[in-house]
Amino acid sequence: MRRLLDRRPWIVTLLSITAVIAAWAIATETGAVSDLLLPTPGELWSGAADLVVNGYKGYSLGAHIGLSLMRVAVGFGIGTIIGTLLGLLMGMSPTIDALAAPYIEFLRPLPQLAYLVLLIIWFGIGETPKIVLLFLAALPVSAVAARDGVRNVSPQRVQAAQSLGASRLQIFRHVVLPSALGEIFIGARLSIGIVYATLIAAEMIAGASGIGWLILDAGRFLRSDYVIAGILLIAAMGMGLDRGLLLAQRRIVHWAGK
Amino acid sequence: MPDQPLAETLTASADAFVRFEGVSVTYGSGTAQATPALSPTDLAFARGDFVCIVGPSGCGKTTLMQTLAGFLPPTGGRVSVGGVEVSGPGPDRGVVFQQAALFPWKTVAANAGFGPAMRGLPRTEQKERVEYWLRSVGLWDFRDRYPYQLSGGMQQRLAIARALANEPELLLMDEPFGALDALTREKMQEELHAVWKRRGMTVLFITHSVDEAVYLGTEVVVMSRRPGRILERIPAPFARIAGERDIRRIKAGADFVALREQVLELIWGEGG
Ligand SMILES: Nc1ncnc2c1ncn2[C@@H]1O[C@H](COP(=O)(O)OP(=O)(O)OP(=O)(O)O)[C@@H](O)[C@H]1O
Ligand SMILES: [Mg+2]
Repeated sequence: MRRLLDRRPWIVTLLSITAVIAAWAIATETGAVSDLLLPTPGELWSGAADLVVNGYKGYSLGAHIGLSLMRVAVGFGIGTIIGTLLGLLMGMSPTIDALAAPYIEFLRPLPQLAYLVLLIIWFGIGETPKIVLLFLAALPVSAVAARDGVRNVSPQRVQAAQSLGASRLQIFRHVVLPSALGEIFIGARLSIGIVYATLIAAEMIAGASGIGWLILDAGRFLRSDYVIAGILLIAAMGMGLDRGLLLAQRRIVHWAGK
Repeated sequence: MPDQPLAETLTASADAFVRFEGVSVTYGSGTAQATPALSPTDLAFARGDFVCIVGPSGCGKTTLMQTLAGFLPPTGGRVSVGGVEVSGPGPDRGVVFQQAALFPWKTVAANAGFGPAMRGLPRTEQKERVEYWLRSVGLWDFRDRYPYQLSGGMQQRLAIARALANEPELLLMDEPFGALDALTREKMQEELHAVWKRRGMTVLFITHSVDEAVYLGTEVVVMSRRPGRILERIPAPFARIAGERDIRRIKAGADFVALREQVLELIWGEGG
């Protein structure tokens, strides 16, 4: 039995999930917990089905998901690309590092909600402040990751490339960049986590779309079935994004950790 | 030149390919932790020589090599190759590091062909060189693998192939066989010796193994404790033995053992 479980850890995972669902069903079906606070599994199921069939307040569920993913993709995409490029330059040139570091260091520990108000004043309440918010969440993390990646390049590998006749540009392309790639990916996964956490805040800015907004809005009407369905959905999307990045990382940086 | 004294002919600069002139290195000079690593050192050797450097740990062997590779500007003195002062690394001086320092994101073939590719040699020549050198070190069958799929000894062989595929005039090797078991090590010694004989390049070879130094070198340079200086230069005959060599016979021979003991005694005199 023990050996079986060691070899098939997913059985343990399955048991754990089953146990939680059973506890949930017992607690709600017996009325021990009011269904205003926590719906029964059946109520959650029909609430979720209702969302799938009828959508929520003017948008289909797919549109809510699509809009959220679009905001994450644009904010994360642009933030990570610009952040990584900036970080690479910072790692290569102490002057650029000295120029940019204070802003990056200022922005990095700053809670996104702190400057959200300012973004609304500057950009109004459309898509722009939402995407700028996510962009600013992604930028400093990926810049620092790329900078550290460049700095951690093995000096001996650079020396090896130099004594094989590589130019400065070739050393960057064939040695520095690939050796920083591992840390760039770690930075990207960190940054997608932060961007995703910021999504709810971004969708709080007036508007009526997105999965984060759906959760907030349903909460105001005490629709805990919609709220929980939304939470499960947003969690699944988050896991999907992280898994996707992890998969890309394993394929592209296949030599890491070996 | 009959009217020129013999001694002068031998030290004439035309004869010296590599020349260290009063080269000294102090790490962190001018700070409180200034570490003198290398005393002013003069050393010159000719094209085609195989110079082995031995000496106690921390005596400045790697430091000396780094000034020749161009990784480290000497604190004093100058280093020149073929009469030209060394001012930085270059493809004329191939380096094999103690840790292989391969490019793990490139295949075995791309690692071996890195130098020729960076220098923009014609494609066909790049391919020929990669095949030739990978076959020479027995890694041709592994050409599409990645370095992390090789054993430590294979990685070291790849590092040697990578340096040789660039066909440098001068090969600098820092304890390249240090991490190998005795059998692989002797096989590698044989392979390196064969390559050196075939191509006639100049080699500067650092090792902790006196046995290896006496076997491979045309000359063994013994260094003192830190800050290192050259204690003695001992010519060794075994590298230039013509025809078939039997490594075990040579290493068991009385003249080999005598020379090895002579070098060991010098190092023992330095306390280690
Ligand atoms: N980067 C450095 N900064 C300061 N001191 C250094 C540095 N590198 C080497 N040293 C010092 O210089 C001395 C010579 O070092 P080096 O690496 O040349 O020795 P080595 O003869 O190659 O030793 P080993 O046989 O152990 O490799 C050592 O005593 C060391 O303390
Ligand atoms: Mg050393």
